[in-house]
Amino acid sequence: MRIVISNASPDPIYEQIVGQVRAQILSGELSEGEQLPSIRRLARDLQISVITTKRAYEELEREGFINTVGGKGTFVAAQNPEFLREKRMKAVEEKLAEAVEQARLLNVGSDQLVEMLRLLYAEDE
Amino acid sequence: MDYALEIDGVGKRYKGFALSEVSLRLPRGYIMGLIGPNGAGKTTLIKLILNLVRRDGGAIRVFGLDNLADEAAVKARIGFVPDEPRYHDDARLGELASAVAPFYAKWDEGRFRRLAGEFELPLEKKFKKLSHGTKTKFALAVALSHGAELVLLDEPTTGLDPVFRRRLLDTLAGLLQDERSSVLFSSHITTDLERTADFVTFLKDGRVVFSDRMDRLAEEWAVVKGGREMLDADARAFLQGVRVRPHGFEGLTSRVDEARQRFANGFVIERASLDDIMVLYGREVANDG
Amino acid sequence: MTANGLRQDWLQLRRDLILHRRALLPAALIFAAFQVYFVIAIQHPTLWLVFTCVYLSFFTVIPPNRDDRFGATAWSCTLPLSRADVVRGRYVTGWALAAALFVTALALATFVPGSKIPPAVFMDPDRLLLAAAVATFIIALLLPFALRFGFIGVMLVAVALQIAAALLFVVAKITGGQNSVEGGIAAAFRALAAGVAALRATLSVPVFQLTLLLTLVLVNWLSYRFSVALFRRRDL
Repeated sequence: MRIVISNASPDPIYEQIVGQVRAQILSGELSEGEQLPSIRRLARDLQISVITTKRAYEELEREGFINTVGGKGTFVAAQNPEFLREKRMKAVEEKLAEAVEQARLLNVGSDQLVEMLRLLYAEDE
Repeated sequence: MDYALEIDGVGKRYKGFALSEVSLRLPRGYIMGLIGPNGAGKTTLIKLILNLVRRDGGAIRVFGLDNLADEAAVKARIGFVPDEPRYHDDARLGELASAVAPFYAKWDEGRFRRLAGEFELPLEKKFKKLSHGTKTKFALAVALSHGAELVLLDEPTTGLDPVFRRRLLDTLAGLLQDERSSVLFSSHITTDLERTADFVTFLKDGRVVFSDRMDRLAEEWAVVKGGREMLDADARAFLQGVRVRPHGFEGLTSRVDEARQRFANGFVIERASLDDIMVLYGREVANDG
Repeated sequence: MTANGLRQDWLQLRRDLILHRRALLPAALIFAAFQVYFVIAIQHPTLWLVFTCVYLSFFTVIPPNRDDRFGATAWSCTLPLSRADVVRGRYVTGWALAAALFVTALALATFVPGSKIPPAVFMDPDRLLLAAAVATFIIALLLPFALRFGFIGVMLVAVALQIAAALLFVVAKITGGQNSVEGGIAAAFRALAAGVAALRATLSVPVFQLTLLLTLVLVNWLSYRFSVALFRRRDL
């Protein structure tokens, strides 16, 4: 598991951890059943507070990425890639629905919105 | 909830200074930072836990035991590193350690030797010949060698070089691995605590400004920055501290969501660091220059 | 007196011996050297006994005073001890030191050639009780103030005692009618001794001795309780 904390990032530290672990699980870098360091071990290694790592792990567990087995440790949960993708697609859909609603309020037509989307994709590349 | 330390409404009066209605709770297995400017009462509070000074009211419980009724039992489980370690000048470090070791049922001589080696303590040297940093390291070695479940450190990092400061924080983090040991760490240098503290209590003028989880703090406290002309009476009333400079103002708020709505355009709102809070809280200065 | 309490007292005595030996040993040597001179020069064994006991009683405040001087008293109070335990340790260590010095004086008085102190002095229960009474008187006064006020407390007591001694001297001059200091003081003590002897004659000798011994124990205990009350209020 690879975690790099950035002090300069606007994201709170626990979110950075959640994001990085999530990405590594999704990409397969962290495999199913692999054991993660304990929250205290991780806190010590990253030189951050236990409360932060605890929160990160709680968040990851809530999202279904990891499991904590009492007394044994924390492990990467069995991931169903289809299900996960579906879940994230749903999140994208929700965000788009929001954008559409905002656009409607401003009387922005769907063509303009699609154009904006295209531009945004181009920006990232 | 298992608490390592519970302080309830504690007070202490001195001539010209008083600690009043101080309350805080430290759950087992975590680090609490005690921050505040010099003279805020941090050392007094730590001394009250150890009954080095007599309290004027309130209650203090350590591991659920009353710190006065069970004084000896409580102190057997507390390790203490004072801000100014003072021992017998003409005694050698090794003698000081062997003089007190048998008082502790859980004294671990092997661990003390290891720590003394790690910290490079000259056990044969007399106490008066040592630098402040070495004296602090000695106090730390003793504090960590008797199985203490609560370690109290009063301004431990002054006088320590940056390398050892890191090692100190790492040693404390190592302590917490057993999930039973807890640390209370007072400092007016907030950078040490910023990342590693789980809880923080801010003392100012003998009172607790807040005592909370670090992450909640990060979520709720913010610094609002903007041009001087944008600082009206309303804004001043809302902010919990403000510093005006030639190029603009900096304001402190503990209600970041409200602030985001109120100071919507043309303002910069950032997460407040512990230092920001300490510097800005309660501050009302017309012009700083 | 619990087993744990005794163990704590022993640990405190041990700690004091380790950490204060660099001051105690030279002081003890000076005491011994003075005794060598004293046992030869003195005329009255009883007077020797009283002065010796006054002298060695002051040793009891060396550990607390040195601790205060180095700012180490607070350290004692961070150990697994209550304030009362710390005070009790001072008394135990103090009396242990006094007893050790008394035995030393005894040995010197017996073996130094030319000593005017007959060994019979130490077999006499009355004289031993007198020694204990003098030591109790000084220690019971010194320790509470030393513990509460540190070195200043000891100075206060020493000054108070000197004033009392001066007054005694004046009284002795008036009643004793002699010019020599020793004679004057001896006369004052003779008056005191006469009063005590009268009491002794009223009760039987063993009862008197036992009563006196118990009174001394009581005085020590009262002094200890007083010290605890004072020390508990002290901010370190």
